Amino acid sequence: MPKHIVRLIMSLGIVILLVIGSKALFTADSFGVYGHYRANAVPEIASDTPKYKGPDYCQLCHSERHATWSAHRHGKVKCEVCHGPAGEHPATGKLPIPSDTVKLCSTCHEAMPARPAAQPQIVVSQHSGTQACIACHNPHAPRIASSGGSDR
Amino acid sequence: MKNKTHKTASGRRVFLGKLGKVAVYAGALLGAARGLAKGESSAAGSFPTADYDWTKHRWGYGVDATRCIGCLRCVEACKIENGVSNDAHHFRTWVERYVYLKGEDKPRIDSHSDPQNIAAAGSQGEYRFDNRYKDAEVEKAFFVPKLCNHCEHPSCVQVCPVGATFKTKDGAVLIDHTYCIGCQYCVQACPYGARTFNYEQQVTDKCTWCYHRITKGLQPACVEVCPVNARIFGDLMDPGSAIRKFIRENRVQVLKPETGNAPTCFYIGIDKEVS
Repeated sequence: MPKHIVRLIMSLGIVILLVIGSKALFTADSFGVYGHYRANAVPEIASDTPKYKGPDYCQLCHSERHATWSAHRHGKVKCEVCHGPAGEHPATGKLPIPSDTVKLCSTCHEAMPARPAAQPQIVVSQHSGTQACIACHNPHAPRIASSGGSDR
Repeated sequence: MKNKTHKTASGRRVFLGKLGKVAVYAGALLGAARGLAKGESSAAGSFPTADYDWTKHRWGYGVDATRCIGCLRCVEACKIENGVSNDAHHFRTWVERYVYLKGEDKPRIDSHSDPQNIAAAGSQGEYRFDNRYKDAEVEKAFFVPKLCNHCEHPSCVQVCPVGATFKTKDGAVLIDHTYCIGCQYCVQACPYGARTFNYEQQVTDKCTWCYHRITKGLQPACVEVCPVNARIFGDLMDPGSAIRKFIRENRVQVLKPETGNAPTCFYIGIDKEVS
């Protein structure tokens, strides 16, 4: 074979080897196993630890509070909505008990256009002003018996 | 002379033929090797975790806008659960308020990142709609929760130049943050504005349907905290799931169907202006 052809073939071979080598070097191991992405990214993302634990977790210790709460009208509003995520509680300390109840309760119950009619709503200034909501309402069983309604 | 030319041409033909054969064999060999590797990894057990096999699920999301009260607990929970930056302009889910005032053709739209709403909340780390329309003459008003639609044909995945974003076998569109180069093509490609850019980490961020929760049998954080069941999540493969019930019992629609993205978030109770 002529010399220049041999050289051409050899340099072509080197280029091909370079391409294959650099692809192997620069592509993550699991890339392309399931598609055009790094497959190991999926178990990595799935391995994060959940912070919101759900009411069953709270019930393990706070069974009495859980029983009151779940039997009343706020039974759909889960513990962590007002108290924040349990995370590693109790190991990491207490969860907050909201102090500014007017601000907290009005987040859902302030009368506002766009809020569905089925949602119980109050005009804060006419209802109670700056008085704390918990002066009259138990947040775990919010309906007041004397107002005539049963709390369910 | 004539003969010699002929011989050379035939030699070239033979050479090309051989080259072709080598290429075919090499291709077949490579393909077989890849197939073998694939077979091995799936035989090793369930993927992506030991207790969760993504081929046995197909997730779907429902939004009942008639129920949403705009409390924004979903936005807060999402931020905490996923460690999303604490300012009002980076978020994986959000809620829009549509207000049609009497005599106006177009709705006024705002969300938690509106300056007046930030002021009402007290800080960018708290989320609240202000009551700016309380004395206005409102014709019609409602809230619409929004998030990534986890499309069947996601435009964001199509434009990613490095394969950093992808659709999983169980239906979630995820981002591999170690592979993302921060070019933000996906942010522009998404027709729903569901992606934001994290300037600290120089990567794009988006809703994962709380993939770390749903693979452990939990609900996404936004669904978990919604006090009025405006957000519904479940397995489309399970006829008894909440999402299948939601789709069966309602006339559902998707946002911007004309894009061909085929979202797997289904809405009820939204209006013509919502997209």
